[in-house]
Amino acid sequence: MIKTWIVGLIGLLELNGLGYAREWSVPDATTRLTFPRDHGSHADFKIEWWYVTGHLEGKERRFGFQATFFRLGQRPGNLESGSFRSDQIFMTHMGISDPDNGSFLHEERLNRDGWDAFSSDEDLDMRNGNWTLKRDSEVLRLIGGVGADAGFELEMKPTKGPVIFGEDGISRKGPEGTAASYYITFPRLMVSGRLRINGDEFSVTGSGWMDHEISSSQLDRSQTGWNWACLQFNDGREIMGYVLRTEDGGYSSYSKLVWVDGEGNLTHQTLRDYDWIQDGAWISPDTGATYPTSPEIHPMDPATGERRRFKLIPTMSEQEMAAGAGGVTYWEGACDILDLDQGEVVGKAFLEMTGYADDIAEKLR
Amino acid sequence: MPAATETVDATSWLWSHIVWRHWLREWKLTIVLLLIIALGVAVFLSIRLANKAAVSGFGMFTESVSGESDFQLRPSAGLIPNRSLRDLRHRLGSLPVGLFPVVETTGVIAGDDERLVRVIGLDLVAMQNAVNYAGGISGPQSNAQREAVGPTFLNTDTLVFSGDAFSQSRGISAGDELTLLFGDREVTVEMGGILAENPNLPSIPENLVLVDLPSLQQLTDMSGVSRIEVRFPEGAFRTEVEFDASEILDAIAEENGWLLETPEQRKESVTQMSAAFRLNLTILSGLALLVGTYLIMQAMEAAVIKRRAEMAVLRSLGVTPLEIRKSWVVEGLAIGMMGSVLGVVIGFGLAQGMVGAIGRTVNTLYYETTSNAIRLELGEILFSMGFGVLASLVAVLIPARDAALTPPAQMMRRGAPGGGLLLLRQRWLGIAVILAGLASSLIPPWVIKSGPAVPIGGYMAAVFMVVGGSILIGVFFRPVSRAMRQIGGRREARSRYAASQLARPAGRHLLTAAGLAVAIGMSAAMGILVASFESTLTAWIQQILKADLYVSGGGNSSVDNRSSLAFDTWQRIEKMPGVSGVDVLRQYRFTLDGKDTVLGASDYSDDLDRTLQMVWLDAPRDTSEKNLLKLFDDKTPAWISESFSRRFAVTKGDSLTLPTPAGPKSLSITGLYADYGNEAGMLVVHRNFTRDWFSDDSITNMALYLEAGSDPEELAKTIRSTFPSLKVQTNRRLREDSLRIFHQTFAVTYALEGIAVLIAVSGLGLALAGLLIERKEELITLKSLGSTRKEIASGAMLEGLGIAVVGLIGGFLISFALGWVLIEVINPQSFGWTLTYRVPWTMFGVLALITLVTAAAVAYLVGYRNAEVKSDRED
Repeated sequence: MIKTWIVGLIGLLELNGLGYAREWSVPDATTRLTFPRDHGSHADFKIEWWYVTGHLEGKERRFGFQATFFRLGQRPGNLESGSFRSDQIFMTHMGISDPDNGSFLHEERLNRDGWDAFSSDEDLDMRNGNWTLKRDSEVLRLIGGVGADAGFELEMKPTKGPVIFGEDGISRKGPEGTAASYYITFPRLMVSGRLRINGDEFSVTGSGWMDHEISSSQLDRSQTGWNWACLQFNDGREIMGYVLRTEDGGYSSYSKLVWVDGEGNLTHQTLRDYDWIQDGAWISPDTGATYPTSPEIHPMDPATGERRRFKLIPTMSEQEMAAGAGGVTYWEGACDILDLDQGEVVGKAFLEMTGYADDIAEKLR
Repeated sequence: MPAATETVDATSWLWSHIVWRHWLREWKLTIVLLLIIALGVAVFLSIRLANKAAVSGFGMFTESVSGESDFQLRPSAGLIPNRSLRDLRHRLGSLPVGLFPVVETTGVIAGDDERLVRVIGLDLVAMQNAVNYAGGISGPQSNAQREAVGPTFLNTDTLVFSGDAFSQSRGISAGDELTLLFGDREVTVEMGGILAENPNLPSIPENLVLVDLPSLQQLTDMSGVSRIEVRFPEGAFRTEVEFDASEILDAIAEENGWLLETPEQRKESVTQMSAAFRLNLTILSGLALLVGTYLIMQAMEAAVIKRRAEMAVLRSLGVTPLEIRKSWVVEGLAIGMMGSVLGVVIGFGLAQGMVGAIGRTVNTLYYETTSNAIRLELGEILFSMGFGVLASLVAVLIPARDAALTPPAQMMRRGAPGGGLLLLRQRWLGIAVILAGLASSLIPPWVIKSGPAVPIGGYMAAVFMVVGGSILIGVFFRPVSRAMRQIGGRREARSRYAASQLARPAGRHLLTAAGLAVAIGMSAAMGILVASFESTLTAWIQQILKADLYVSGGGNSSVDNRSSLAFDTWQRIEKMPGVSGVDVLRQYRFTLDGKDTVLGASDYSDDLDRTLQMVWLDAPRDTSEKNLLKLFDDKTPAWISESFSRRFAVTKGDSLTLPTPAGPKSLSITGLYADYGNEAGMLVVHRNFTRDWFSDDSITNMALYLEAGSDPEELAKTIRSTFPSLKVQTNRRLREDSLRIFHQTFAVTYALEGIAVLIAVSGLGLALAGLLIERKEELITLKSLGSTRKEIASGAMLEGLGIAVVGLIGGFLISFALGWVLIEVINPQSFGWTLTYRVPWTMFGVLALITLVTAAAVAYLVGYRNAEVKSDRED
């Protein structure tokens, strides 16, 4: 089939085979990030992504969305100019869940750096086809969609941040110095805009989250994937937490959970302070992978010093981003946060699970 | 019982008891008749199928790897600059429109003769999106599958990909190196992989090579794209996206002088160019069927005469004339039907062989195309069969009337002349038909919406000439008979017998001679057309090919060849020792009024003497018109070819606006010249202008004039060793090449002529057999008078020869008239070429000899067989 050869041609994510690894930059604790420059692109790093998710409401309907712009460096640095460059590739994923209709739409788009995809190295300003993400003074603007089935134009105003995760400003994923990233986040965005989906048009409002990670290698060799979530509580606080799964079935000690308080102050926690209990077993009809879609997260609450027990309940099970040509399959979906002790929903979350359908570490090391 | 049913019953009774029995008894004749119809239908169908297959490959180059687009955006001339792409995306705003730029060029693979390969540059990264739109249905791909296909291409500029057909036919597999020649550039690339076929897309053409777009731009030094494929994603608001985007794209196309077309429109506008050629082939192929019609009529008439006794008996038994007539018509229909079915089978086979020849012609004359597999379509089958059945029906109408008119009282006498064929004795009718032909040749062509001009009047005139000529055929029998009597002498019994038969020609004689005359007339007329074409072309080549050496990029002489020579290259050649002067030409393809044509940029008027080499139809008169360098009436002066003049309805003295990458330019036409090399037409301006318009200093080909005493072969050798990728031809070689290509384009025509003559000669045998069967009593008498079998056979041979001579005379006379129609009416109207009338006497001689020899042999054999009659045998 046509896709087979195209996928083969691109060999896009066989990045470590290219022999440039030594020349890629590695996050360095002595470097101070400056904005808006560091919202922009970093061509010395191999992998960089701008990840926006959120929860939208309109006409008493609820939607979840994901828009992730990946920059995949092929050779370190801005080596080329022109309309068709081969030194940087952009891969963008869009996903929209419409639980009332039971529909989950998603699309992947690949483009080389150049006329139809690019990212500024001065500020947040990028494009991949008609999809764009850019900073416009105090707000971020996102245009996205899926085919001609869904389209959205959103204005997103950060209420705090950006925050930078990692005690020394570096988010470490393993003992190897290279397995680390700069991790910049707007943990809460006030979102408003327009959404068209499945023939309807909505004026929507809601909340969003944006990550910007810059690295040259994300995972350690023994790691097989991760489970990650961002939780936005009704009390104005957030959690960004993840567990890195290892080949022996356990979690890497580099797993992290970070609380963000109302002012944007961070509390970093390790596995000593939180539990991540896999629960739920949704089997993807597309890939056959089984995802634990309803995990329980039990962190120590820095405000009270007590353990909390949260369970993530997906708004719909089918939120798998089945691999396109880019070759990465993962589950990325909108959830409610159920406080198991209080027995009520205390916020909204986005849950991400990788490495269930394929070996993500192979691709992101 | 109602009357209608009775009639049906009577007809079917007749059918099963008499008709069927007759055809079974005469099974050999039946088979020949079926074969004649079958051959006619087969030729007709195969030409139509092969025509379709030969051009259906056009425009599917990207389709076959990425599916079909909704629109194509392409420049009227030149390229869309890379820098315009980003602007295009910005203008479309948030509309989800897929834009896929395509670079398209031609090249040649070293060591692969001169076969042009179509080199397509697609952005292989973005191409993923072309197949990735439909939300959520993208399936999983295993790593093993991914690895099986090959290496990454992003970090190398020299990987190419092809389909299986390319790899098979050239024995190139993944990992092999090959040398691609782009004009004066020679690049070594690696076959990166073989593209798998997708059952939902057209198969990947045999001459397609795919390269990552930026690599191809780099390899060929292009800084723009040939076109942009536009796709709208599937989805609930696709229609709105299409509507909004089309409006924006239309505006952009308008501003930039680009064209926004659907793939169907594009395909139509390109294939239209060869429409006249294909139409002519189709009509020619109808010729075999027309000759067949004469033969069917002949055989039916024979059957009527033979079964006259039967008819008489039936009449006296109370069967009405209407019922008899119906029975004959049904008979004709049945034979037509069976023959047509057989014809479809044969035609399908014939088409396989023909598609290659037609494809080559289209490639050479019009545009590069890939022949697709022959597809047997129901519509085509029905159309051809209908044609076959119709021909049989027409053929049977007159004999059926004759049969029905057989009076019951007329007993048992066979061979009485049929009434219907008396038409062939109406001289005034023949003259009237020919006059009608002359009148219809004055009808102007019918132009299909800016497409090809169909010379309706010309075709009508041709048919009238043929039919009129065949009606008048009878007048030649008496002189031929007289001549035979004289040559044979009074004592020669055989020639006297034959001459006496010819002196009172039966309807059968007339019909046979008419059939032969039609076949020979049409073949010979084609011969006249080809000869006139050839002599005109030769004279033209003599006139224009005056230089000693011709240099161009590699590849065959297709008008689609896009190779070019960079400035430095041709400058170096110009400065080589021994070269006294050069003419250079740069060709650009462009689109005017929706029709593709060619812009030629030359340095001609630098040297006014050389300008005179053009064959002028309306020459530039004063020096200001002759000078292409100076503005004329503030406009760029331009010369146009005859085809251009016809296609765009402009001539000397007119103005026109030329779309260029630097905006529209006003031109003033100061000369009209003959050009038989390019049917798309050509517009010539001075290269000084195009250099600015296209920002381009390369050329397509150059003509070298040598200093006295320089050896062209030596210089050719030097150029070849300095620039191995270039094609260097001496004057002689180029002339030979031009004529070879010319003959190639007529290959199919030659085959059709042969088939028509074959059918006609076999008809002659059929007719003689019928005549001899009728004359059985006479033969018996002759035998009892002591004539040997050989003598009877020779008599038949002489009679056959006589018919053949009448057919030849009539045929040649028809061909002169038909040739005139072809050259003076049909050709100028559909191709726009002025030709000088030339009769190929040698070909006529050969045709006559073949016809006479075959006719003599067939007639002798038939006579010999039928002479074997025993006096006691009753029929």
